[in-house]
Amino acid sequence: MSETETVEPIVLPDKEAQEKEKSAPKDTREPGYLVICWNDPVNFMDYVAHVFRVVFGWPEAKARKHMLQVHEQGKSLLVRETFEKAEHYVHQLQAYHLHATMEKDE
Amino acid sequence: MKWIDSKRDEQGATQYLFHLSRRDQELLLGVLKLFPVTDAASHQLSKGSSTKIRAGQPLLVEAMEEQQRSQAHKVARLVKNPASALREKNGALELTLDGEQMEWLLQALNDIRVGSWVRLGCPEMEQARRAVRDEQAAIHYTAMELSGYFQAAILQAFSKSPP
Repeated sequence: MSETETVEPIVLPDKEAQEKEKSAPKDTREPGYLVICWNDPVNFMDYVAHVFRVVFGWPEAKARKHMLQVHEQGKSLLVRETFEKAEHYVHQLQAYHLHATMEKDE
Repeated sequence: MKWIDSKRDEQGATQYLFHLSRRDQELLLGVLKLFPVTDAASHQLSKGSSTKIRAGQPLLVEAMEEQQRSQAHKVARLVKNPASALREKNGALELTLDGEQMEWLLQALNDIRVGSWVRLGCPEMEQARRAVRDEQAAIHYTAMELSGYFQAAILQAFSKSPP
């Protein structure tokens, strides 16, 4: 009996899985949606920072940085996410009556 | 209304203590009776024209309506039975709230503030007083200012003592 040569198994690509992934909408795979908060004259600055902390779990400094962007530049890009997550965040922010929208990143 | 102290209960949850005058109590309960002021149908999911995003618009309105219904129950419970959170101690009125109560009260007050501002015609804050031209506008202006006053006390408590 001769010694058998050890050969690494060849893993064939899972074509079915690859095709499935390709056919899935690009939206579900890529963070192609932007959540933007827009300035308004009515919400308190401390309130806006508080909402960012609660909704995104951000530390104080990051929440205040985005709040100041909203106040000084008129808007702040908060996160870039998949469709579902972006929609979820907009629901959360609007529940607090912040002027937040989701936009396709084009 | 003034934040006095925050303490941890047996479960480790933060309890926030506020002192109120009689006038504060009347005004808080009075302004909460206005809830809800915003129109859930006015929420907009996007400024863009993506068909996919626009298809989610009804879901957003439905979610905002559901939230208003849920908060309306909580607000009504507090307004009908203020003794559940307010008690008299040493001649002062004490309001005790946990973090979850603080959060929905803050949201409800902001609904009143933003909704009243919209009914005033969305003026810049410096121009808001000038937007008061009749009795109805005076009510909106007062509600906006009062809800802001109570919000400021809650935000101060959160900043000094995060949940």
